[in-house]
Amino acid sequence: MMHRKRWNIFLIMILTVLVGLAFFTNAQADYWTALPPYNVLWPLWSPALSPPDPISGVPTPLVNALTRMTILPVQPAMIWDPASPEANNGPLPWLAYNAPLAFGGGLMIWDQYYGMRPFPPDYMLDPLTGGPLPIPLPLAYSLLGPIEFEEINAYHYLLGNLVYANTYGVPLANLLTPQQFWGLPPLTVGIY
Amino acid sequence: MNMLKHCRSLILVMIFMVALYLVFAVGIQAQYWSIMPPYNVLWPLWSPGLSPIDPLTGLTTPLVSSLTRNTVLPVQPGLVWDPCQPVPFLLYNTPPLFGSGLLYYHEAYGINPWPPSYMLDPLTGAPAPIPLPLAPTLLSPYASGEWEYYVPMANLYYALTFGLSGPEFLSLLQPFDIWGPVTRTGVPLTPIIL
Repeated sequence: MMHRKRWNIFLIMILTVLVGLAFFTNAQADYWTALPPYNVLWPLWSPALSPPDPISGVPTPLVNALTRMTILPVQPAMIWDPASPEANNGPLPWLAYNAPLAFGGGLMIWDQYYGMRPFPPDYMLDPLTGGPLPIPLPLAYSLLGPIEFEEINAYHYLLGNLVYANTYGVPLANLLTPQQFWGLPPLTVGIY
Repeated sequence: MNMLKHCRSLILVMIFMVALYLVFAVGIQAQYWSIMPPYNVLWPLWSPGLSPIDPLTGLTTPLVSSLTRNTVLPVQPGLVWDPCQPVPFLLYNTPPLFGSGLLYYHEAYGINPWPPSYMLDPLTGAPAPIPLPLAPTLLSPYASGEWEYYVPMANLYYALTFGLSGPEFLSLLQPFDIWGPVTRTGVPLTPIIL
């Protein structure tokens, strides 16, 4: 009888650990999803770019592919190649914008080193055929940590928006603020 | 005796060759910067966008030969350096609608007519060339990493000052154009051969 009780406690402990592990893994998983055809990563952690599906509650990207012709429903989007050969001082993400039709349309990307240019960058295209050359991704890429607001150069996001707004004459008010993008909580009274 | 003399000659020739090689090697590595008259500011020979390779000589050649108030830059911004200053100057042309003349951008002073007042004789207004250290052309190139936000910020400042947008704004050089391709550690992918 005593033996059976111990066995039950042992089973409950194992079950608890397994449930905990499953929950922990699920909670940590899928910060990013790879979008075809180039495999660039899209942030599932951004409430503005991956709002929760009303039925499943799972963050769902606003677009299901990223090509030169993709039109973003909100902008800027943040996309990332974690092993970009172009990265200068660490792998910074690109901000992605729609070029207005008056300027030829198409998806544009901005970073501080290369400026504004059409998506995709050259290295994602086959030099012979011009076809997509999907980037290699690390194992468990979806578990890579989100890009935290505090980690990115404070000017990166705002400078991208300013450059885009000035290039195409788009009002800044039409662009996501960092607060919307990261889902930052409202400012509270500072404590000194 | 004859053998000794022969060896001595051989050693002398070898020393001469090594010395010649050293001079040549220094000559190859030198000149990351070019001194621009009349103010003696340094122009980056290491920049593919500002000092492209002359197809005839194979040497990197500055896009301009001097920097005065009336110089017109074929591409902008130019980047020049007074080694006594902690940050470089970025140079722009005044857009035709706003007159003419070279302008400089400095993070603390904004956009102003070139040159800064300290490069002018306070009495005569004539050029007062800046003092340069020994072998200024051998000073190391600027690392790109420190300036990758400085250049786009200056470009934006210039564009907003003069209301430039669209293709005019997009035509301004980006850090990539000034520094060329870099690896993730900030080291140029291709060695600088001058």
